[in-house]
Amino acid sequence: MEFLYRFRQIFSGPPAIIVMILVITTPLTKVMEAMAPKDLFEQQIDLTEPPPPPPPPPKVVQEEQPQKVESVVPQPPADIITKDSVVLDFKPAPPEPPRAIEVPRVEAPPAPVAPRVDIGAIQVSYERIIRGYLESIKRYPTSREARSQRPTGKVGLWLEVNRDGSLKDAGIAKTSDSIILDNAALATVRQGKFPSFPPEAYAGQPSHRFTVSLEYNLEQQN
Amino acid sequence: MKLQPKVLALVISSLFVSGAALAQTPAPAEKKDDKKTTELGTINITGEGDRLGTGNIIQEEGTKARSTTTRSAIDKQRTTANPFQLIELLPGVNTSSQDATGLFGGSLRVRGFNSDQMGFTVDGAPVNDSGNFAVFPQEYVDQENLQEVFVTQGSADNEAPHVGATGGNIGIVSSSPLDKYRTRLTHTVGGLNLAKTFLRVDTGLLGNFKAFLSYSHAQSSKWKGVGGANRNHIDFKAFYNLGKGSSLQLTALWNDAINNNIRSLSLANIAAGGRELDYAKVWIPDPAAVAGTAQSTPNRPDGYWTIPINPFRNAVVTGKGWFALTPTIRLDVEPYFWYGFGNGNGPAPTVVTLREGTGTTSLRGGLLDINGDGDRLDTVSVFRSSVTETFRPGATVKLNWQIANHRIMAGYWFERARHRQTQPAVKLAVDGTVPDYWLQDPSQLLRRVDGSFYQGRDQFTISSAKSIFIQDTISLMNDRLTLIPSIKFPELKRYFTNYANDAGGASAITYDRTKTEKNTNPSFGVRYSVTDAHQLFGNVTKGSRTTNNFNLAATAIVAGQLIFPNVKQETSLTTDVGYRYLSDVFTFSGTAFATKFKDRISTAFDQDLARRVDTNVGDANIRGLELEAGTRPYKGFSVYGSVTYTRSKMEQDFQDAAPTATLTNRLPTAGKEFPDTPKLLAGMTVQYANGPFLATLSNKFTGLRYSSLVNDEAVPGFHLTDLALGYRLPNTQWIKNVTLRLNVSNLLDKNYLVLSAGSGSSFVRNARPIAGVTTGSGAVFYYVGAPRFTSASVSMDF
Repeated sequence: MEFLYRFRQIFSGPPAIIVMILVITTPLTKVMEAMAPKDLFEQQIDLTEPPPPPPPPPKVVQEEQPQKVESVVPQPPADIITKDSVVLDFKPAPPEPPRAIEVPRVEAPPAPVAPRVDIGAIQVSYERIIRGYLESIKRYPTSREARSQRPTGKVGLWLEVNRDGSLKDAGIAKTSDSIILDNAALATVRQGKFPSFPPEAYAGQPSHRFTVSLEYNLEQQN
Repeated sequence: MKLQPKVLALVISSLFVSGAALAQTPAPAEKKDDKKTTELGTINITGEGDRLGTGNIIQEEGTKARSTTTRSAIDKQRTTANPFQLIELLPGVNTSSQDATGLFGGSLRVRGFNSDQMGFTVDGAPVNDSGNFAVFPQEYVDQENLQEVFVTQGSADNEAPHVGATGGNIGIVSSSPLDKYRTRLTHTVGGLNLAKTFLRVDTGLLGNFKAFLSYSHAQSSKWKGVGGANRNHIDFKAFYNLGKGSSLQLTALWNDAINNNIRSLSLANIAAGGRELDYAKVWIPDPAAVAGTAQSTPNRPDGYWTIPINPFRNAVVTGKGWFALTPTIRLDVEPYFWYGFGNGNGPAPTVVTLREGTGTTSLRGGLLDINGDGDRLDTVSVFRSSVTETFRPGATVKLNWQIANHRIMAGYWFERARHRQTQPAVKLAVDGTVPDYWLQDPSQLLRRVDGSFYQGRDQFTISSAKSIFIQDTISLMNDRLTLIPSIKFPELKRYFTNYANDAGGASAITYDRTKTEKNTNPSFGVRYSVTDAHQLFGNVTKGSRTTNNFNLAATAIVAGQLIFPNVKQETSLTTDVGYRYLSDVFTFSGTAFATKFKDRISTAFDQDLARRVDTNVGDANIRGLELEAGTRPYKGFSVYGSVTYTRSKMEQDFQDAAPTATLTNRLPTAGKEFPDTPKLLAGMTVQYANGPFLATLSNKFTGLRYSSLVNDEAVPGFHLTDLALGYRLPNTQWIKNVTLRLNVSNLLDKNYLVLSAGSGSSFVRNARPIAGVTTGSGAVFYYVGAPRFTSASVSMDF
């Protein structure tokens, strides 16, 4: 009887492990990661409030601009290369949302001959990358303490980023009155790996200061 | 002992010198220069958002293994499910329930540790029995009000209020009141007359205040035999925001339940009577009382269904005051009060019989005439049960303090449990029913000749527990590296009184004893974030479990001397080493663990006392691997899976009885596995959600488990498959969130057995005689797995 039992385990155990290994390793993850980006970014937007309009907002949006940007990419003028390299540097790259690209490029097409760099646009795009990146690594804290207290609140942060993308310093500009959230917010920024500045951006500054607010909420039960 | 915190404080303060000075204050004053500062706006973090998928995994960040079942997963379970059932898929967890509804309770082991070797909290208040650390999962928060249940598999959290945890801890967290007014009504019906009605009203935000109150009634029949469960439950939670990060919270729970036991069976019982064998449905009455002759009781091998019953009432009230004294100093004051009253007798089909008159062990003249025939010569069937009443106030006070990159938590936990344990009896009615199953009616309770109440047990224990703890969370390398050294000093002082009672022997003497058990439990944890996605963690923690209060009772009286067991604390040293992969689409966690378990307590032969008592029988090693992974929904599908491999090994043989000329009586347990600790556990759930429709199919595999200490009996592994379907109807003007759910447990109607072993120490030693060692053996008892069970529920909001 006992021997039968033993064999049973041998027969029924490995399939579960194999299934598990499959789940952990190969196809599903790869498929999902491959599929993730477009899907993912859209969902993140859903999760968050509509991002505040980029600093130079009151520009006229021209409808065909997105295509123009894309057609420019294959034969890259200097500034675009830098922008691309920025994107490559940055690892879990959420691709730039197509709808946002149109804004900064407004001035470029009229003067294609003189490759005049639009510093504002490059900076806006860089800022968008940082923002998107923080979006991708943000996390509600999961410590025993955090799960028990479930604090909510808004943490104002400042971060000083060096030209090479390394973090010079960061701190709390406005506390949420919760140590848990202040620490979680600070950790989000400190752990961040930021892309290096495009050469044109923040010209003459060895480092640049950004401020960002992280607002922690809880979903309500439905 | 008292010096040690100071020493630690010095060590910790010296660490500050090397700590990177990362200010948590506003940036050094700078001119508001638009060119130099860029505002990036606000990023919202909303709990887990929809990263959850099936809801069985969250992105943990601690230094030790931990798994969480969230609201998202709980919501899909049957509304009567108890917390043990809700965590069954998590790694390390070996749990079983006596039926599908969860109203009858169940058992739990994690990494080989029984539930009474782990710490349980409900909203931070400890709920293990203060005497023997037992846990009754069906008593706690209603499923509808649960926010999450988490398991720390290996070792109890530093600030957790436990003195009885050599294993890990399990936290049950109730949900918060909603910000918007809501009335929710849920009704569940199912097979076996299952019905549960749940009503919850949320006040919504009224200024800074919000609260909810819920009531539920649940009932079900047993899946075999006669009898059922009946449960009334109230949950309440109020929250008051004091502003500036400070708040007050009050949680209260009231549970009033009674259930008939489901009979456990030995393999021989099953062979003879089948798996549906339960207690007798027909009462064999005592013989008619005749004055002047001695009546005896008939043999009732299957007992009677009315008698194994568990009536229990309990209340847990938890207050929480979180006071942000400054943005970097927070004081937490968390008082609680636990009240429990009820009785219970085991699953054995026993009908207690008591003898009237003056036997040799009779106390105070012995029992009066029970059956009323005018003589005191008879043996009569009675209902006798172990009544327990506990008043248990306590509090945790802790200070959280952020200094540069150090987050210091220092605190003090204390409680004082007054625990009264008696065992009165009442006469059974002629038809075998129990006239007063709460055993509280003085007119019915059996009395002795001098008018005092009969007591098969009469004990009172005051257990004063306290723990001082201090923990430093040190953030280094831009928060990529976190070190958490901590230490706690748990202490339990028991004051035990035995009042002379009718159990005979040493119990007939009134005596009291005190015992203080202290320990020093250090812990060290590390977490390193290699990148945003890859995390390494490790933890070493020492745990300890004080002895049960009944270990203070004398086991015998020899030549006028009381004989006491000499048993010391169990301790454990647990190491977790793990890796986590955290991304938006996929979360994985793998932990290798090793627990060195010392001075395990078991009933064994004590040389000095020359008898069998609870004693420390030696060391054990538990090693293993826990893996879990979950995905976020992709095209509606999400998957969660866990696999646990556990290798437990007892290190020593133990002496079961005094050696004789032909028998060594030394049980060969060295090298054997812990009973009820399968090598392999695997859980998996696949969820499909599309618009209003939701389906989850889950499967839990529990591998072969030995049932005795010498591993001479085992039960085969089994798969248990559950299905849950849900559909949400469109909102109407008056009724919202109308949700229909269908839950099927044991979908494939598998036949399986789970061990019935009440505690971590009460295992059958050997199921059959061992040549040259012992001629004795004990039958192992199992709960038979409940067959397929279906229930449906509808939930709506007003």
